[in-house]
Amino acid sequence: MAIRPQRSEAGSALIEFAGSLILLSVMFAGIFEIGYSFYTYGELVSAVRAGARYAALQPRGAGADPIVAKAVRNLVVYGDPAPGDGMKPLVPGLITDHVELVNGADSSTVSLHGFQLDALFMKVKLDGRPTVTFPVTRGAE
Amino acid sequence: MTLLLGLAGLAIDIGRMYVIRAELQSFTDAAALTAALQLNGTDAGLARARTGASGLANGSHAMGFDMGTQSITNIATSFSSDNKAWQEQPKQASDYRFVRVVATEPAPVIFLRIFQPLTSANVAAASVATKTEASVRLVE
Repeated sequence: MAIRPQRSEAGSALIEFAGSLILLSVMFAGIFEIGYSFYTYGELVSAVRAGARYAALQPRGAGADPIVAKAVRNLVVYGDPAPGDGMKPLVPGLITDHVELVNGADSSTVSLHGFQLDALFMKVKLDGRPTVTFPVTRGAE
Repeated sequence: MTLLLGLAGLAIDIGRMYVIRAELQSFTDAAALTAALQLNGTDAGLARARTGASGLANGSHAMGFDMGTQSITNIATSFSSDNKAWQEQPKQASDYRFVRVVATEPAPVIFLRIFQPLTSANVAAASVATKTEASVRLVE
């Protein structure tokens, strides 16, 4: 009877390591992705809040409204009511068309419409959120 | 595994809490200003201040929390004459010029449960606004 040579187990550890590495990478990527989405959403909340606060302090009227609306859009997207050339949006992919300003009788509401929060495994479409409403306090502060 | 869940807890649970706090803070800032605009030294003014503050959490432009998906419901409005002593139901409305709005909402806890037996943690934000002769402003 022939004695079978003992099989080497040197390769199996490598294969196990490769398998667990793939699993770990996917989990890390998922954690990063969701965490980054929350971070981005927090940035959007701050930007929209700044836009609403700005709008609530501006003059109203047929002449002023379009100018204020444009300034609010720029403020939300670029962090500046009058951005210079080549400025990058605070959040990648955000454009001024996503920002909506609604002037109520005594309030200003700014919200995002149509922006897609880009997560690695999914895209979250933001329609109407975040929304921030500030009461009109012209002449204040 | 504990390390991995801890990392997930930091990134996801804590990140979510920060988002919720930012949302609640935006809400209380706006609500405190709305309430302060109504202060006129009368009881009716105090009542309008309360409804004005909670009104921002309702309607078509409602401000929500948890990425805008949940309604803000736990809103406490209190009043002060000196920005130190606070009363929810002041007896003399005449000299109350400060209004404070506190919003407290639960943030869901998913991964940090392995360290603490919690399913949610309360996140709160507070804002104080005051009415002066001609205008209103945020104090803090």
